[in-house]
Amino acid sequence: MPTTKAELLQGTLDLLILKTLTVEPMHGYTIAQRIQQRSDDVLVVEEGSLYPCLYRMEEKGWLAAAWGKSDNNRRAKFYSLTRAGRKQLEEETAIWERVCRAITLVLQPA
Amino acid sequence: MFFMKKLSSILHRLRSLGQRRTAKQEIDEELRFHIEQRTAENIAAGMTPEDAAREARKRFGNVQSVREECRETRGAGFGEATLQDIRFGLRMLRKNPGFTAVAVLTLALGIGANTAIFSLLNAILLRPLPLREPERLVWISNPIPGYGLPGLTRRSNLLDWRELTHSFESLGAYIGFADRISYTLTGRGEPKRLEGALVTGSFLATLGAAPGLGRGFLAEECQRNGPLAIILTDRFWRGQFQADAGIVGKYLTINNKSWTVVGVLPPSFDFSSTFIPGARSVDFLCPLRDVPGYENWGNMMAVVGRLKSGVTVAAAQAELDVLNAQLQKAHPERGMFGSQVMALRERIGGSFRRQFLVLAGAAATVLLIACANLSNLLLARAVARRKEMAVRVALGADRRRLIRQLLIESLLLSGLGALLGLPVAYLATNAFAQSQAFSIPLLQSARVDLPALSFTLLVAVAAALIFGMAPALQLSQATPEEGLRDAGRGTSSGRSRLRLRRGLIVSEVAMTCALLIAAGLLMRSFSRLLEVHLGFRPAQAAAWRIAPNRAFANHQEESAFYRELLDRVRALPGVESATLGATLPLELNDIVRVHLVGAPSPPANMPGIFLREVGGIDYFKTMGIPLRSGRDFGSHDAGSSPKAIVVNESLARTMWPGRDAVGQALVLEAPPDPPVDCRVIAVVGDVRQSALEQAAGPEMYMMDWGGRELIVRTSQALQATVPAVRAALREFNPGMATDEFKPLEQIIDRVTSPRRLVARLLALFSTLALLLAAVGIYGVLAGSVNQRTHEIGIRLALGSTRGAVMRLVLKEGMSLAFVGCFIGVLGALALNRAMQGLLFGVSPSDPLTIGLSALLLLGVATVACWLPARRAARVDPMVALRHE
Repeated sequence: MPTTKAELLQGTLDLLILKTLTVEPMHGYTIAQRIQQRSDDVLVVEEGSLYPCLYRMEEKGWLAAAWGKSDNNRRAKFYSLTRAGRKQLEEETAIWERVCRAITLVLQPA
Repeated sequence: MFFMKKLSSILHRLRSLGQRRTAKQEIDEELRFHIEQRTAENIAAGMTPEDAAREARKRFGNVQSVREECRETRGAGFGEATLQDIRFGLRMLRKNPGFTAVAVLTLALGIGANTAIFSLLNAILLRPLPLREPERLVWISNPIPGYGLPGLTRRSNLLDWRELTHSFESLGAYIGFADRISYTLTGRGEPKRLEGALVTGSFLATLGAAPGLGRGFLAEECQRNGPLAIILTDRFWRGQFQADAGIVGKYLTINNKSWTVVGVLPPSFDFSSTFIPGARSVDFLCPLRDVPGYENWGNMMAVVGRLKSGVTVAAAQAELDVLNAQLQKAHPERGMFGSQVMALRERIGGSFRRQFLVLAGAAATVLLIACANLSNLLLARAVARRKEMAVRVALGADRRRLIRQLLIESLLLSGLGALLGLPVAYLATNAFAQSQAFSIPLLQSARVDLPALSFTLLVAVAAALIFGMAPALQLSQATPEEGLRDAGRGTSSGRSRLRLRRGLIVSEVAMTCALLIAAGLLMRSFSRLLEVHLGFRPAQAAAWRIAPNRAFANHQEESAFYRELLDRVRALPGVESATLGATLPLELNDIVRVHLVGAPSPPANMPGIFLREVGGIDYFKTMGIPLRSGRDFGSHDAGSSPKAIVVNESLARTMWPGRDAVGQALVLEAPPDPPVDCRVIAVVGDVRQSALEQAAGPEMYMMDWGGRELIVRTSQALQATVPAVRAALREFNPGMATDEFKPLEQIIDRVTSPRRLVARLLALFSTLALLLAAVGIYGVLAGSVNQRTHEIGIRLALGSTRGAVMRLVLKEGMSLAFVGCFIGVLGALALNRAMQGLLFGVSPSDPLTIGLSALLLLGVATVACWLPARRAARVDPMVALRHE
């Protein structure tokens, strides 16, 4: 049971997955783990959202999936970024930064 | 780019549809892997394996719903969801067995009728002839103004055309009078009379119909003293020789001569049903041999041509027109009439186009009426299902998904209907194809084949969309609030639904009315046709096709043979009179030219004259043709000179207007024979020679002993006399084929058969339509009474009489029927022109037919309205009010 929990904004999960996959192709479990680690255990990805999200992104052509061997030598499905995925990452990063800046501006003490 | 993405996504979808199993397994495997990873990590963190697994599963949450969601995104759910809809739809249909049975049965009849009509239409009008490049084939007829004859051409013309034209790759012909030659097969069991067709050596090559076995005719087989060769038709080969391929190259004894079987026609090319529908099926083809002087015999060749590629029918026509004018000038003795070139396909099926289009229209109308009915039933059910839909919308169901599910239910209904309709169509089509009763070309090749099946599929889908769309759209408009309210009674949407249902009823009644009128007109035409004054009495008379099984040394011997034959038949009990003839009325006729003695050539406006060869005395008595003046043929007229002839009233009127024809002289010209001097001994009544629809032309009768047809008139039931006549013939000339017996009424049946077919089918369709319309009216009114039970209860409680309630309901239904009837009559009048060419002796706006049709329809509608009206009147106000 995770102790800290943050609700992910709609659409942010896409961005996180895309960013995580820039390192190397990985399977769903690793993706979730990496996001959790990199966010200092703040962002806990729910499996119930992760997999439908991965499937949706694959459907959209941002991710490509292939079956390979995991570290413990088991069959696992590895996701990797496609060209469209990289482009999407750039766009979404830009949007995210703009939104963040805007929110920060709003939150600044007047 | 977008397109490519779309395409790859579609491909992906399709793939995943095909590998549904694998996709599902992959998702499961992926999710399982995740849980196992987590479990492993938990163990590594120090949990017991059981706890680790439990924690991992707990953390994952609902595996099932994640899996579903993945599948849905992936498109793997597409097929799944459809299957789900189908299962759900089937469950709904099972839950309402009454509704399902009615819907499927009506659709089965509607779709079956359409498939059957399409199969006939396809065979007769659409399917290309099973010949090489059939679009280049033409028929060249020699139209004789005023006569519905096949338009045969003389051989000399054919030879000239072949030599002098450039439009044709080749020309071929068959002899239009070939059935006058009798063939008897011996040496293979009982002697058997065969039907042969004489064709030119180029006939099969022109058509591009290569024999399925063996070869075509060689040039030497078409020469005068060449070897005797025949090509069997597929049907004869199968029937007589059990499809023994070894028959090719063997000899058959026909008319005591030895003929080599050189080939067998392919099953796809049915000579009889293509060229001479309704006649006795041809057993073999034999080459027309080169007999000197043959080219100058009369018009007897039915000519087909293969156009050179790129040459149009019009160009060929123009070339022949020019050539014919030159030939006419060079050879006035040929008495050429002209030539008309038309596509062979058009010639063979074209004259039936209108009939079959009307039938197809009628079948489509029946299906439309069935659809309107179903739409109405579904709309009625929609009232009950609105709540279900509203709840589903409230629970988040996608509207598109609802429409899809409702349409799938409709498709299931029409699919089941089509499945049930196919055997109906199959049986009906085969019954028509196998029936010899209809002289309609290519009818025998009608099959429920692949195009017909595709058509059925198309019709089923179209029907489902037509009857399912309106209810589906209406239902999917259900709003979540409605789920909480009572289903839309008295709301405005309820009223618009009622308007739609009434509109459907009106259109249904209108279509039924138009169909009834069309059927009525055709049936009246048919009965008018049967009332035509034939000029002879077919009842209680029959004709035997006879062929003596012996040779005659001379003419005297032959005459004696036939005279004796007639004496024997005449002596039989029950036989009133008997005679012989070369041909029968309404079958193929000879046409000759005559001129008056002294006049050098026939009068310019003189049409050809039908010549009927009478083969014995008592001809007019046996045929039932009335003698107007003069005397019947006697035995001594057989070899008389001048030749004794009998003329009909038309000829007498044309040649000797206002004078008595008896005793007049005329000269008969029938090349290549020398002119014959004739003297008229009697005038008889006119007989319809070529078609019932066509008034008689001038006709003359000559007598000589002999003939192919033995005609017998009986004083008792025809069938009772048949065995006696047959026995007498067999005793008189053992081996004479005696099984071809046909009541003269059968000739009438044959020539009226296309009309009979169309009239009967249309009557059947309009009866179906009438039933459907009645069910439709009843359904809507019963539904409306059901819905208004409460209102009716209040009316009764407030003192309205039961009669008034009944009138209220009757008025509601009958006003729809009246409006529909009115529109239907207008529609029928507007469609007049399509019917014009199909009618005989009745106007397309015949008030009697229209009136009777409307009356019948309104009568049936009244019954359909009366039942719900009675139920409304019997409503118990207390029960009705408590019902709420």
